[in-house]
Amino acid sequence: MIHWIQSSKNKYIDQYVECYWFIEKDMNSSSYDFPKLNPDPACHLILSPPTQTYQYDIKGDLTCGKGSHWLFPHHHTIELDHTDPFVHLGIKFHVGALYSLGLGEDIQLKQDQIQSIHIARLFESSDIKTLDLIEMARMNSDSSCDQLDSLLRPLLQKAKEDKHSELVRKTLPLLANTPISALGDNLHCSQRTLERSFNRVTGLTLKQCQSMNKLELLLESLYQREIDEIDWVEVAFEFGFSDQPHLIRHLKKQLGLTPSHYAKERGFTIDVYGGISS
Amino acid sequence: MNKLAIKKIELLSELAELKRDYFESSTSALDGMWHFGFVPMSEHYGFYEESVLKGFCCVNSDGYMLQFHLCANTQIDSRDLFTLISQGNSSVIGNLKGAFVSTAETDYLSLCLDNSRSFKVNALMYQDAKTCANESGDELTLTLVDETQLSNFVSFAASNIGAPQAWLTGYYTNLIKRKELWGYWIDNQLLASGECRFFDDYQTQYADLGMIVAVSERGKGLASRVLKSLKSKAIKQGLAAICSTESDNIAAQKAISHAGFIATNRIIQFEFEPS
Repeated sequence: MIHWIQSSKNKYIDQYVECYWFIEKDMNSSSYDFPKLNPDPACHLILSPPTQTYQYDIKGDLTCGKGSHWLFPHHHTIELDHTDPFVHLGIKFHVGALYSLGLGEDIQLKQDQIQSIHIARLFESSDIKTLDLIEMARMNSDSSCDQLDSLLRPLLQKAKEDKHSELVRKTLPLLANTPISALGDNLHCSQRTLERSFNRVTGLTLKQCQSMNKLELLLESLYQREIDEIDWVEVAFEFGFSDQPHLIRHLKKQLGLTPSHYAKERGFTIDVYGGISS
Repeated sequence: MNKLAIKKIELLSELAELKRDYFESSTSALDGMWHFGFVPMSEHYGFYEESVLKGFCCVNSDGYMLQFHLCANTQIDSRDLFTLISQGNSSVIGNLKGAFVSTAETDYLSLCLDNSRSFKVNALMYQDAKTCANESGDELTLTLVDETQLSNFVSFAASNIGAPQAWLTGYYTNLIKRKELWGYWIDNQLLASGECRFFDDYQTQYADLGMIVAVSERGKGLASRVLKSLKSKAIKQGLAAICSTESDNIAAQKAISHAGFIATNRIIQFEFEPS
C-alpha cells in the first residue's frame, strides 16, 4: 500500500483544491478489504484507469462502475471494496468549490452519490491520459502535483465568484469554533441570508457541514489513540456531544468492531480520502 | 465546547477548597465513618476545565462512588458529566458499579437518581432531636481511655462485634491519642465502649458518636444510656451530636431513638445502569 497527500503549491489552485492524494494497493499488499469512508462535506474527483472497477456501498445501496469518477459530498459512511488491487489519484476540492466552477447544477449539488466521468470531456482536452497521470503520481508526488495543477488551471480559471461563494469562503474557516447562531453577526449579515447562501453553494446546511467536520476531527483524534486509552468523557466534552451518551455507545461499538490491523493502520481510507497526514 | 480533562488526584490537599464547598453545600452533617474513614482511603479524580480544577469525585476500591462535586463556576454540565462517568466512559476512572450517597448531599443524590435502576437504604443518619429526652438523669459515668488500656478495648471489640484485631489496634490507638474513646466499667469489667469523635477540617461544629455494648449486657437499655452520656459530653463542648447505624440494625436504631436522636437522613446505595 502506497499513498501520499499533498496540497498544491499554487495559490490560485489552492483556493479551490484542498489537496491531491494518491493511493495504490498492489497484488502483494494485504490490508482491510472493506474500509469505510467517513462522511465528508467535500467533493473528490477520482482518477483511475479506465478499466478499473469501483464499488461503493452507501447504506446497502451499491454503486459500481469503471474508471474515473466523482465522489460527491456524503452524509453517510460509505463502505469500499478494496479486495482487488487498485490505484486512485484524487483531487479533493474545498467545500462548495464546485459552485464556482460552473459545472452545472447536476454536478455541484449532488450528494451521497458517485458518478462516472469522462475526463477528456471535463477538461476539454482529448490528449489526457489517466494512466500517465497515475504513473507520474507513483514516481514523484511533487511532479504529480505540478501536473495536476496544469490540468486543472484552464478549468479553475473559468471559475466565477459571486456574493454567495464569497460569503461561504468567509464562513468555512469560522465553522469549527463558532456557534452557528453567532455566524451571522460575525459576518455582518442576517442568519437567513447566510444559511441560504451556504446551502446554495454547498448543498449543505451550516449545521450539516459543521457536524461532518466535527465528526472527521473526532474520528481523526480517535484513530490516533489506542482504544483503551480513550477517555470517552473527555472526548464527549471536547467534541460537544456530552449530552448524547448513546453516541458514545455507538462509537465504542464501531471502534470495537474495527479489525485491529485496520485500526493500527489508523484507517488508511480516512488518511487518504479525508486528508489526515500520517 | 469545553475542554475537560479527568486526572487522578495524588495529593488530597489539592482538593481542600472543593471539599470545603462540598461539606458546606450539604444540608446536614455528613457521616464520619464514610467521609473521614472510607473517603480518604479511596481514589480521587479531579475534573479540570481548561487546566483549572473545577470538581472531583471519589471512588472506593469496590467501584462505588462516594463523593461527587462540581464548583458553581464552571461551564461543565454536571448532569452530562455524571452520566458519562456513571456509564464507565472515563478510562481514568474506569467502570463504576454504583454509588453511596446520603440524602443530605442533594446535588449528588439527584445525579444518582438520574442514573440508577435500583437502590437500597444502607444506613440511617441521626441528629440530636433536642427534645425533653435530653434531660440528664440516667447518664453513666464514662472514663476516658488511656494507652495502657488499648489491648483491653481491642479484645473487647473483637469479641463483641467481631472486627479484625489488627484494624482495631490502629483505630483505637488513634482514638485514644485524640481523647475520643471512653469506657463504662463495673467492677473492673468493661461493659461498653463509647466514641465521641471530633472533626478536624470540615463540619467541626459536630461530634460523631459510636458505641459497643458487651453481648452479655444487651437488651437492658445500656446502649441508649451510653449514647446520652456521650451526647452530653459533646454538648458541654458546644458541639452538636450526630451518629449513624446500618438500616438492618434494629436494636441500635431503638437505642439511638431512646437517646433522643432523630433519623432525618439516609445513606443510600445505588446501582448504576450498565451501559
